[in-house]
Amino acid sequence: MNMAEPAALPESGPSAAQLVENDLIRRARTGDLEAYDDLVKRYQERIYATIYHMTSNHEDASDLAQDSFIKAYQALKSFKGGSSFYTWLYRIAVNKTINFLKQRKNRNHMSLNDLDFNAEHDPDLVALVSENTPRRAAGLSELQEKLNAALLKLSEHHRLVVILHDVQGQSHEEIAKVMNCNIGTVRSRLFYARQQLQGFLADYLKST
Amino acid sequence: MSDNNEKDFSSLRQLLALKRHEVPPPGYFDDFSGQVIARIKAGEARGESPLSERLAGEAPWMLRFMRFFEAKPAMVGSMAAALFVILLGGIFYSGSDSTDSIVLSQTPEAGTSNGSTLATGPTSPQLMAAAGAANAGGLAVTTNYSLQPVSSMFSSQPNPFTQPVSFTGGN
Repeated sequence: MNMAEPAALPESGPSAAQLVENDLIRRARTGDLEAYDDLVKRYQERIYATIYHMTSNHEDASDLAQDSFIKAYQALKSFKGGSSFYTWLYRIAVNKTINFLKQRKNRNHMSLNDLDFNAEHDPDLVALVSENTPRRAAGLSELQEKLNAALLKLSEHHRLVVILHDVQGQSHEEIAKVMNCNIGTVRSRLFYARQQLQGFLADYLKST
Repeated sequence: MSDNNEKDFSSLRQLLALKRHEVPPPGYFDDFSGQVIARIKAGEARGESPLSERLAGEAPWMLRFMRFFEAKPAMVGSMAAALFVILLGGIFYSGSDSTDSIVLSQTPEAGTSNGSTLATGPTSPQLMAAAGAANAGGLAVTTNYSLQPVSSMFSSQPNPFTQPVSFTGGN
């Protein structure tokens, strides 16, 4: 593919946002850092969030997210447009994170972000803490810590599926593309990961 | 079955919603892209690219080989041990070949020639060390030609380094 060619587009035709993104990619490929700055701003929060949820550590997530964007810029010329830029970028970030976690196996250190103001008013969470949790004294901070500790007990691939699906709301198809596996594998991993999490967090979940 | 699964895990999914409320410190993303761009510029200014990037472009097989060993200390250890054994084996076999050649060269003729050379040649420390190692049965390697057997002075070929002498006197 020619460097100047835009990324492959969906069959339904490009939307205005996609056209703008394709133009940014084309310019970034030629070394236009302002264009790449715009691309970073588009995806920085989602990439950071995925890495943060995988590592449960703000500092690690910050470093890995920056490294992922830098690696993506350096590899931009190899981006063939076979998938969306978003999926391609996600793959880079996910592979980087999984490699990092494997190297740091059994040496996980949590550095959790604070909960935002809305957490205290989230009806599901309020109900979970005050009414349905066997340990009623458990506050949101304790739940947050237990939840992250339970997630870290999962394998990297199982954790990733839960994060992408149940936390970030991605579809099975999107996850399959990011993880480079088939949808059946995604479903089975999700089921197994949820089962394990339910076991780890039994004390904090509804008994019904 | 999928619906049942969703119902079975509804409580868990409620709890997982808590993760969405975890946010980085205020203003964290204000300068995030600026830091990324600054690091890219710094890397370009140094003209460096990470080793992995260079390998990916020039020798992707090497990168795959290195990744195969990532987070596999046992595999790396066994590979290193295997290489060490191969190295030791190589040294052992090369040593035994050298010993054979030394034994074969210790014929009376060779001994004589070596002795004569040592007796008449220069006695530098290097030569003495080489001779000592050879006598002790060790491996001695030298490129000094004075240790090589000299050709016979009585051969039929004229020696270019000797001058013919005539004893025929005058009168």
